[in-house]
Amino acid sequence: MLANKNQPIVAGLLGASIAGIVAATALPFNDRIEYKIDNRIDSQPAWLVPPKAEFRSLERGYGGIKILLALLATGGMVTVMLIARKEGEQEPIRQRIKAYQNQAYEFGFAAESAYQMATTQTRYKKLAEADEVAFESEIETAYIESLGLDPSQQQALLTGTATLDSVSNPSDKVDQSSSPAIEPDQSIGTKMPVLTNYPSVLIYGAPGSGKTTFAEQEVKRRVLAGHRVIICDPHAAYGAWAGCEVVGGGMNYAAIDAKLEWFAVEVRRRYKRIESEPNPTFQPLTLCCDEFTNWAGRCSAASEFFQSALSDIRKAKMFGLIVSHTRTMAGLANAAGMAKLRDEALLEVELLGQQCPKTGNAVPRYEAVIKLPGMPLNKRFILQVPKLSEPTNHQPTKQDSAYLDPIARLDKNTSVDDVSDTQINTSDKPSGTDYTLPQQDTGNLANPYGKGAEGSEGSEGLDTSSALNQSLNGFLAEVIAENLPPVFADDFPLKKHERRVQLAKLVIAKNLGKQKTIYLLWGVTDGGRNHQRYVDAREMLERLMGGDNNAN
Amino acid sequence: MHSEFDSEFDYLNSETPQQFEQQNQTKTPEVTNIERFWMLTGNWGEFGSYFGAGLSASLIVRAIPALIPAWVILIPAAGLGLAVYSLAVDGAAKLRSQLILIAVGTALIAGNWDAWQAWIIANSQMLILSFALIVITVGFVIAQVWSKLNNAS
Repeated sequence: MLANKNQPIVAGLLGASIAGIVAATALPFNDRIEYKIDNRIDSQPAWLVPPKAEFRSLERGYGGIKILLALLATGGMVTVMLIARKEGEQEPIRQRIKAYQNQAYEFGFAAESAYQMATTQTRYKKLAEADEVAFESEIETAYIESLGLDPSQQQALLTGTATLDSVSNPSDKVDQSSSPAIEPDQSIGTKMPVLTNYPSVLIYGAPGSGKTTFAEQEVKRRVLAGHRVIICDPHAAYGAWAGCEVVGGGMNYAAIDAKLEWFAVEVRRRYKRIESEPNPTFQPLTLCCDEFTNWAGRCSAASEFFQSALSDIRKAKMFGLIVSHTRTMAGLANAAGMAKLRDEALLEVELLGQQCPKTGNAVPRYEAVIKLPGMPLNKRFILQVPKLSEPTNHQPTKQDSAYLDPIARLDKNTSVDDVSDTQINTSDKPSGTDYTLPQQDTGNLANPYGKGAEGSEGSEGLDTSSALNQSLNGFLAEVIAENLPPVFADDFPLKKHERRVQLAKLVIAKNLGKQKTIYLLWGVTDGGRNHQRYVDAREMLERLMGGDNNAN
Repeated sequence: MHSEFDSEFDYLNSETPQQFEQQNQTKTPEVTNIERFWMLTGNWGEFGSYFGAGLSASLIVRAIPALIPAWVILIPAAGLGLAVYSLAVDGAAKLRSQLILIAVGTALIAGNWDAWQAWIIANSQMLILSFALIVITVGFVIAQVWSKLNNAS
């Protein structure tokens, strides 16, 4: 197919010109005379005819035609040359234009493709955003449902750093400006439920809201009801939890862990009795866990205890009283997978706090939000908590503490109150008999330690004082349980050296082994960089034992 | 290595159309068939033009006998000058001058064959003698050279 209309013209003109040139070349130019000479016929131009030749005919020449054809062919050839040269110059330009057109088509196609890609990308981006929004909505719904709220209802407006969890479950933050997302129903349940006989009770609230004091009241009620109460309180203050066995003071989480394991053993022991005996009777046992928020990660048995308190202990007449800062699982021994059981089985008392407008301290509001087991969060109700100053409530005073605490009495060289069995019957009798509230004795005894301290009569004089002996036995139990510092440490509660020596001899009499005894008395162990101290302590121990032998 | 993504018009790798144009121009131009056709017809047209010009001129001279003496001098002189010129120049001018010599010479010989034929007949005796002299002379020279070469060896 011809790509240019000048192609046939040039080709035809070239052929005609060639034909013209051939014709102009082949035709004879001059006239020729045909003649005969010596019986030979020939034709030559007139000037070559021999004189003797016989004229026969005249052949016409084509000179004019040849010239005309030659001129026409020359013109044709020139025309062909000019057209071909011009077309030859224009052809690359045409091809470049065609290339640019193709390029433009490709650019247009690329642009259209890019536009379609951009459109598709925008569409997918919108789809992804919509999917993300839907996913976030699902997460939000699941989160609200996990808080026990109805996702279909309007939620509280969150401001500042408040979260839905912190607003709906105000745990350890005292914030007057933020109201709970779900206001507790104040129209029902205006009577404080009886907590004493409920298997597991959670008391939580902001610092300063009165948790420990509320727990102390409840503990006293249980003691009066015949419970044996064991307090696990790593922050146990001096003289606190009067009348109860206190474990874990001084942040001794190992002792708490051991007590929790004992609790689990006791649960199993009671259920074995239930299995093997008809209608066995048990003394109610309450394990009060204060500062439960801090137990996760420090007490390996805390999670198991929490689970057991929610499920196992009711029939065994065992009770759990848990005091924490929050009701979240992270604050409840980090017991994974127990949230549902917590909501169903735990009786929750949230104590509300407030900030004192004068001092800025966190103080109780004397209000409690009660959540009964199985009750949704939006059905909680608020109760007024009686102030501790009211006559129906008992708040430990300094006098009570001094009365209840044997250490304080020992360190006082003044008159010492009566020492009941309760104070000295601590961890050396873990399965002891009933615990009752100590009754304050108004009678005063003469200082039983005065003479002994002076050493005039040696240990013999001390033995005459049963109160002192009982107090030392109380110390002995605490020392063996490692609830107190080493006997000869600076911070040991007994300040008089003679008392410490007496106590040390009691420890030695227990025959706990040399290393254990040295550890309880001086707090050093064999080996390591304390080896020299251990050697010195061993010499002192031998002196004590030698003196004892000599005395004996 | 050839890739299926290679493009004859690599405009996608050019920042601007001008850059693509410059890159495209640096490539060796590819001669298409239509360009080849135009070059062929153009060259034959040029040759035919020279041939036709020489033919026409020679025929016109033959038609006007008074011009023959002048052209008998002029054409050999122009031919000689053009031959010298073709030896002196290079490139397109050399090619064109040679083309003109060939075209015009061919036209003078082929287009006037009858005149050359008559001339040869009219001067046959002289031509034969000349040819004999040339043959003898050339033969003598070749024999001399040959004998010298053989003696030398």
